[in-house]
Amino acid sequence: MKLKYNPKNLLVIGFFLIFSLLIGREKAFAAEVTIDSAVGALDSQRIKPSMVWISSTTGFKIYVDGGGTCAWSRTTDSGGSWNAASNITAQSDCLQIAVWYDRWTPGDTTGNIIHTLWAESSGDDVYYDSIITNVNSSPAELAIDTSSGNSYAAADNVTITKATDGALIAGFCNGALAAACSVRRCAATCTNAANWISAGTAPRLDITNDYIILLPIASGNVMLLRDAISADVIQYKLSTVGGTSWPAAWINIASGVVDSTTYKETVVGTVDKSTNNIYLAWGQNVAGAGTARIDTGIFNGSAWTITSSPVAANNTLIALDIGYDGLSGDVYTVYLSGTAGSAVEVYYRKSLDSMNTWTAATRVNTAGGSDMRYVYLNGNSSDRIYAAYYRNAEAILGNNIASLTSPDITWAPSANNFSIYQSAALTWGAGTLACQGTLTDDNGETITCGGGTKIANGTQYRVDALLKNGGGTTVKMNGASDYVDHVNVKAGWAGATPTLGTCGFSDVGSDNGSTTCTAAWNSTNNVRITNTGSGNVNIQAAATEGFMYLITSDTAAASSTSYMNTSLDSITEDSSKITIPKYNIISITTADASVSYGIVGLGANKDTTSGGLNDTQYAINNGETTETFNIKGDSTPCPWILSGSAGAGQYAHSFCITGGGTPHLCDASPVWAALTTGYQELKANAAVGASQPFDLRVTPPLSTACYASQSANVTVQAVEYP
Amino acid sequence: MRRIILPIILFLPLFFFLRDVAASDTGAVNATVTAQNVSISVTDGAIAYGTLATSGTKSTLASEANDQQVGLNNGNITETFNIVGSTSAGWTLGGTAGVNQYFHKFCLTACTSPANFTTAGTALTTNYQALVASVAAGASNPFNLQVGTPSSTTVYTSQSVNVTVQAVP
Repeated sequence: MKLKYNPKNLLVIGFFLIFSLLIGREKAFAAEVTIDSAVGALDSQRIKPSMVWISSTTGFKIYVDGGGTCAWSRTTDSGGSWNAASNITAQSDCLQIAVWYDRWTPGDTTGNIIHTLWAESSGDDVYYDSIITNVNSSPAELAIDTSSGNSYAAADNVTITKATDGALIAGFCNGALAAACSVRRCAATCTNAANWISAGTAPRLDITNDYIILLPIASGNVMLLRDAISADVIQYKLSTVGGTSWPAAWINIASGVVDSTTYKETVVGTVDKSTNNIYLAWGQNVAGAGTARIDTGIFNGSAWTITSSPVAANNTLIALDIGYDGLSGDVYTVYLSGTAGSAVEVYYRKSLDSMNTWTAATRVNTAGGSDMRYVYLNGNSSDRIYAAYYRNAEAILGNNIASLTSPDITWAPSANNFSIYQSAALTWGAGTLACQGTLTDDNGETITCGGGTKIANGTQYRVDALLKNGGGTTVKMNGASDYVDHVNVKAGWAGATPTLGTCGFSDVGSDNGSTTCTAAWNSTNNVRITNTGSGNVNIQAAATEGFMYLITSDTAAASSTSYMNTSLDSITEDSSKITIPKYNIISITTADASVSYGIVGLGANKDTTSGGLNDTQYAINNGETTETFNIKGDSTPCPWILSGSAGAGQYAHSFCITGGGTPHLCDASPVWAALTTGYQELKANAAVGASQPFDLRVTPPLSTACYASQSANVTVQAVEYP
Repeated sequence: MRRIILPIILFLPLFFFLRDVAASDTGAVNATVTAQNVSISVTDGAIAYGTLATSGTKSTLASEANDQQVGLNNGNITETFNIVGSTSAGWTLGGTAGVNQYFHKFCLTACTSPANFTTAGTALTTNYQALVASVAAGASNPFNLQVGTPSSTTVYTSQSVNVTVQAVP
């Protein structure tokens, strides 16, 4: 399943791209804070969801306060501190409270209301109310069920949601009166109790205090879930006709779900707003020594797929919740584990691949374990994933898990983030460096790929490019719409007919799923890398991913400018252009490359000019670029020591390229320069194909013991000019 | 001559982050040179004329001392051999025999008998004179010598009447 980033949620990025490297993606678990230090009793804190974040800075926790009122606490500083409780109702016998935020419903991007539903014990009625988040106030509550005979207790359940057609759906049930178990629907003007009508003919719930959840699905319908305690099953039913009709039968999602008689609120769900898929998690044998676990499943609108367990074989698991990162599609589970009643810790795990795999557990609480009983996540957010947890008979605490900001892809994560290696291996960083450079995100800029051997003809290379997600949530690569392109490869630096090889991902962080890298030509000249595997290539917040491919240049590679381009989760980024240098073959030949001076008197001279041997030599630029010719001589084996002038055992060997003669300048008035054993310039700026004549002159030693023929070889070197 | 860059690459890692590596190629001019060598040897290089009467003669011909000398060009070019005599400790070198004056002659192929030295032999002097020209490298050239004792002398001890053969280009 492909999870796409919703561009409507894009934050203004602009220059933020540049500075994002300096911004941490998540606080490394700052100390937990107290949301409310004196809250209501244990059972009154059971219901989830009960926490809403409307922005990255502002969040609401709704709960039963110490005085028995239904209340909320608000933070406006990203959870750094929480305001004193504000009452939703003045009634002091609020038993429990369920909430739904407008914008948790797919399609709703503007609603500002947190809808609440609770039951109270004095009148045994069920009330609807709301929190208007943008003004931080709550209007008067509305009793939507005042049926006589009800007898609500804290252990009874309430749930509320907003359907995709805008109707509010409330579910409630008490353990004493089956007739009071009802699903009510309000299509409009929900401040009028008359508008809360029983939805369908068979919406009744049982009276066994099965924990229930309502979640919106497509077409205005809703899903009702329950943990059927007596049957050890997790079940659901779907409304029809826009939420006005319900089937009688429940359908099993999972069976054999052994329940705890103490910790029963262990079915949690959330909705992916972009797909309307439902993500569900439930506890299995919670508090069962050694066998407790969390199981998960996804409903795609027609069927359930059971996904992997974030927690298995845990002997102290007692509570859980689920959250959905609306930017990246990452799924979070939080759970309580430890020594029940005394040293329970809060942990979270994250899935980057739709609950197929999970990250390792990370502890959320920072003050050490205590008697934690319930844990809460804000079910769906594109701003923040925040955990709150209830400490028995005392307080609700909280701590941040992830500060979500829009993914921010950058081609500039670090120095030398683009490299080309001569290599046949898909091994990041391996091989002989051909060149490398530091890309930027400014496509109008051109940088140079340097520092290596450059690009040669007919040679296999691997291109490594590093991409960073500078944002605060995961970027995922999957399917044909997500790609990394290297633009202008063919007919560019790799020549007109390069051979494209395989590709690979350098899985920085080892967080990728089951991936398959595919490289193919796109738009004729671009190399396109895609992930055709079943899993995601994940680039988590502030993390990097390497993309590499193999390619063999053809016989006409050329210095050329290219750039990287990517589109991941509908976020695009072009890199700066980078000039990839062609390796110009440096080649020289000498002709006729042989001089036989013959026998030369001690201290006498013999040269190759027309007046001497008439054997002028030539240095020819056979390379692909302008060259500089250098020349050097050497001592002979016997030896005659090469020197500036002849002496005892020392001989001189000189070269000439200038004079006043014809056909060669050195044929008259030659200007001789003594060769040394080190290179000195013979001719600079020799064009491709140019032939530079030069003459040589030898002067044997004034005296020597070496009368055999001596090899007085001369070496002419070509280097690239300048 | 083209060189593939690969061998150069082996040395590159140390310089990755320092600078571009300049490729190069080389060509050779194979030059050979030999120093001119002028060299001669004489074999056997020693003559013992023995005791001669005053105004007596004796040669290296087979009929007399039987000790023909051979000059050998041991150099690497064609040489000219020059020859020079010397005054001994008690006798002066001259063209003919005299009082305490002796003569010393050389002769190439013309001297087949001692009498031939009278007309074909050339008296040595204390200055070089050509013995033979254009002796190829490695070639040898035989020659004979004849000594003539003084007509009278006050020195009757053995005299070293050395001869030097010089090679020049």
